[in-house]
Amino acid sequence: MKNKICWALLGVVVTFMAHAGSRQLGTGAVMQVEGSSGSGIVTWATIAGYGEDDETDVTAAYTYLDTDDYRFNMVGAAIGWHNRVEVSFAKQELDLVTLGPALGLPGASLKQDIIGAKVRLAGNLVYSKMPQISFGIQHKKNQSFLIPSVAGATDDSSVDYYLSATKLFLGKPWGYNGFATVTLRSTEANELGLLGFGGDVGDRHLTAEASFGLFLNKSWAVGFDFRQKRSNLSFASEDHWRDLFVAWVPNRHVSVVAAYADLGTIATLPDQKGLYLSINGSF
Amino acid sequence: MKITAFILGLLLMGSCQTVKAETLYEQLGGQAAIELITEKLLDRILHNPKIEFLFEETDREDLHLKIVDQICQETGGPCVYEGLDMVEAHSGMEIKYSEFDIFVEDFILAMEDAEIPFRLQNKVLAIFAPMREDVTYE
Ligand code: HEM
Repeated sequence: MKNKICWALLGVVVTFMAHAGSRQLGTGAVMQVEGSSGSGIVTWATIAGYGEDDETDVTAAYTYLDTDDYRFNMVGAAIGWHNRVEVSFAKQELDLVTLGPALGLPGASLKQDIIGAKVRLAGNLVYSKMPQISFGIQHKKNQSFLIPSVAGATDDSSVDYYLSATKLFLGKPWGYNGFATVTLRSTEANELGLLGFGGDVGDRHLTAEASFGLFLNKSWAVGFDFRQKRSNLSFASEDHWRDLFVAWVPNRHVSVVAAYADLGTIATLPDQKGLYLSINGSF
Repeated sequence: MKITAFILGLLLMGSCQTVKAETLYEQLGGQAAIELITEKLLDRILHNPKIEFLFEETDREDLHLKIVDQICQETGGPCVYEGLDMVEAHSGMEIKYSEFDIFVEDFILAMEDAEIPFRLQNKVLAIFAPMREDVTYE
């Protein structure tokens, strides 16, 4: 009974909010793996949802990635306020499909919670000559610190800081709408933070991320992500990440991303490649 | 000798292409296409519940002529736009970014109605997008 009332209330809230902002299709990007607006593995300067400076949008997403040796999933939600501020929440879980049993811990997984905040400092994704530039933080709290601590991680929580620039190019190249992002990040995280923060061979690093792509028509985009990784743990040195993605944005309420991700070696297991799927809802 | 011929050939190719290069105006389909886009745009914005209140006193014929001239001129056609500049034309209306977006969406739909291909639509949008700050009051 209580449950039904909850659902009914949720229904009312969602219907009440289900107008979505007025920015053009696709300009809200999608939720990346840490809950911020971006593409698959890269954080962008975009503000989640479609709100303009008199509108507020809520976005939720579920993401799944399977590399055989690991299974990753994320649930997240973000609020985009007036195309100025974004606040996001994400829960990540990495199933240690191969490593768990090998360590005598079948069913073991690594978990982390992330609270993100981003503010648009200048520019507009579509309309200004300069790119849209945003500054953001991701406060990360590892929720399964036993394994990371044994592996040598020194902290179970930390903050990532990033500065990001994103631009959409109307009619370029070849009449399509191209987009590009470059992001600089300061981070102590080991494998996003799933393996904790800091370690025996390093601490805070500056890393770069980039994403490029094209809208082939109003609702379909293809692109490429790159994310530089640096290592703090001698036991689990990290590789750079990359993926190729296809995004489908049929309307302002739904978007779906499929990607092929190459994550290199993760916690000693090489060649972690697999399909990435993400579904986003926006109200 | 061969090289000179080759370079000459390249130059010729280059110049033939510049002769052939069409303006965006021509690629769109000239005056008829621009008339059609404008017709469809006005059908939409004058009846869109979210922005129609701004056009309550608008003379459709007059706005039609001005928008046709403006698109024609900006896309490299043979017209001369003689209306107000964009700041003057929209001053006092307090047009919001969200209303601008709705106008742009109607403009895209109007080009779709007129069967303008996606890649040409984007080239047209690229011309008008930088006018946002002139048109809006924020
Ligand atoms: C880049 C986008 C836009 C362009 C190129 C444009 C173009 C024009 C032109 C050429 C005129 C006629 C000026 C004259 O009378 O001399 C005009 C007038 C007007 N525009 Fe825009 N416009 C744009 C955006 C908007 C938006 C977003 C709105 C409202 C949501 C709007 C509302 C109006 C109104 C109400 C008039 C006055 C019509 C009248 O009563 O004469 N325009 N615009």
